[in-house]
Amino acid sequence: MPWWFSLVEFVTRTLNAWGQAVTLHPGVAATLDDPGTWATGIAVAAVAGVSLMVGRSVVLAINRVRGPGLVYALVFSMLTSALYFVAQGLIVWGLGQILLDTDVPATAMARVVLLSSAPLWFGFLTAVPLLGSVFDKALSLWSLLALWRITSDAYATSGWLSGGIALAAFGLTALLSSLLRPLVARARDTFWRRSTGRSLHASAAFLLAAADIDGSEADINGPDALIDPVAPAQPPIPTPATTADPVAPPHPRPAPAVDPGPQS
Amino acid sequence: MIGQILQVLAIVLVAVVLSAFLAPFETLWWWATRSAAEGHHDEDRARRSLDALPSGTVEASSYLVYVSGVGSLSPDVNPHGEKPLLDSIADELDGIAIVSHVYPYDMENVGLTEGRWSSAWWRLIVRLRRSHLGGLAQVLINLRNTFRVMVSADQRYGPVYSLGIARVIWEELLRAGYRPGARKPIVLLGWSGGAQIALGAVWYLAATKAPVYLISLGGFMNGDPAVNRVRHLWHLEGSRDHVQSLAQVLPGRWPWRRHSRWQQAVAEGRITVEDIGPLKHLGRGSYLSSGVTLADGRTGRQTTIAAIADALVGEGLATRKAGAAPTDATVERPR
Repeated sequence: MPWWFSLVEFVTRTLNAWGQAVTLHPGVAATLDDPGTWATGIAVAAVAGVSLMVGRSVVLAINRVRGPGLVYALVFSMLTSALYFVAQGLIVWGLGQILLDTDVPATAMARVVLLSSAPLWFGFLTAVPLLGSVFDKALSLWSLLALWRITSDAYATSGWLSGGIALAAFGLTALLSSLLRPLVARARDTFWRRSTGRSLHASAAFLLAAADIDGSEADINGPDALIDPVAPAQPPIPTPATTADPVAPPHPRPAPAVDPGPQS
Repeated sequence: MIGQILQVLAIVLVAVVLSAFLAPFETLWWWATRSAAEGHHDEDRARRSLDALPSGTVEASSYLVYVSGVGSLSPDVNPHGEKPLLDSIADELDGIAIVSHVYPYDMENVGLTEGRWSSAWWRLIVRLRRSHLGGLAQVLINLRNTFRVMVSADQRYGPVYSLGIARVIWEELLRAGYRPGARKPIVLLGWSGGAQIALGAVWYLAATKAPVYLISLGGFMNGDPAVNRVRHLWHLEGSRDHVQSLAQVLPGRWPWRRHSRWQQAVAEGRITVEDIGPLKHLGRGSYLSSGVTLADGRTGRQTTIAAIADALVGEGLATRKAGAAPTDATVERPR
């Protein structure tokens, strides 16, 4: 069988699984007993991770992330997305053990819960200006509904009980994620700083303090602010009295605190 | 038949959402690739700006920068609505220089029909505007620019977009003879979505230590951080302008958020909301229209000019020319 045939078959299987998950199809957990579907689940979660990364691309853009940095961000987003949903699957499995005493293996549950990330393929829509948070909340709700459907199918139990398990797992994963986020962010920032020599900005808000529009021209006695929009604010440079001479050249441009290049 | 209509509506909806999704990427691309180069100091220009005023030249006491609404295609003002408005302000007031060559929907001050990869498409739209599909063409232009207003109003992208637009305004001010060292007041006059974009730019313009004012003409504005830096904001609105109700939906404007920037500025008296009469947002009977006479005998445009002149003269930013009578155009009300 040629390799591309296997590839087409894999893509088709992934799209089918994705389609079942986003439409909350009753057969979405049918792959529970098939160990070969790990790849399908991971692919769905990885694409969700990439889409979410596109949705949050403002962070990449303001930090001028390119080349290897972009690849790193891409792989990081895919991995964290897959890990998030594997953790969610394990929590669903744990709750199932406690409440239902089922014999569903943990790995099978983790594998099938990966499919609840399917709605996040639309995560790129969180980039829509002003409405991004609305899309974000709608996608979270959609993902929760997919998890409910999967839990209900996998445990073949009542809608309310599976709904409760799904909601608890959803909440616990979110809690776990928020607890771990500072640690992950610190590791990411350290890695970034060591790789590039620059600080990693979490949002564009830093510009409000650091950037300016040729502000130095406003003050013939010294700079009011920086010209270079990427450098953080610096104290005014002492300027000699001669600077006030209208024909004297403007004050020297302050050196940026960090080297803006080469970009990664 | 209903199925086909629904299909068309679905396609339109997907196209609109995708356009909205793509809107911030122009800003992000500019930031990632162009802003640093543009931020480099232009020593020649700086030296010129520090030069003494040429002898015999009378410097304006303030500078008014016009920021167009979402129907705009290029830095050139619309000859039918905007130009007469600005001409009338210039005719009525002394001491104020008017700067209008600003395209607030592009961070490099480039219009839609020239110098961009999509220029051919926009030229086609401009041609369509003269046909029986003119309404649709205008909707497409408005939609494209509305997405830029949303970019400006979004706290994730706003700081970047506003930096680009502030630079455009700054360049045009310098070109108009503004001397940064003199720190003359800068007044931004923003119409519709242009008011939000102007408000965003206030943050960076105010960093030059010049006093910066904003006159919002039926503006669609969020509670931008720049609200904290604006010296005074006059929000002029017509009682028949329904876009104003829409602007109240923006989180930064929610009236029950007493500690929001916007509400605090209102409480401090730095924002004045003024009802200037039964004016609509667009079309006949709107702020720039001269086609309909209101109950007091004035057109929408005359009413608007009077309100702007009152604000500028009242703040000491301009003086009335001899023979120009003071007006009583506004009914101030708290908000």
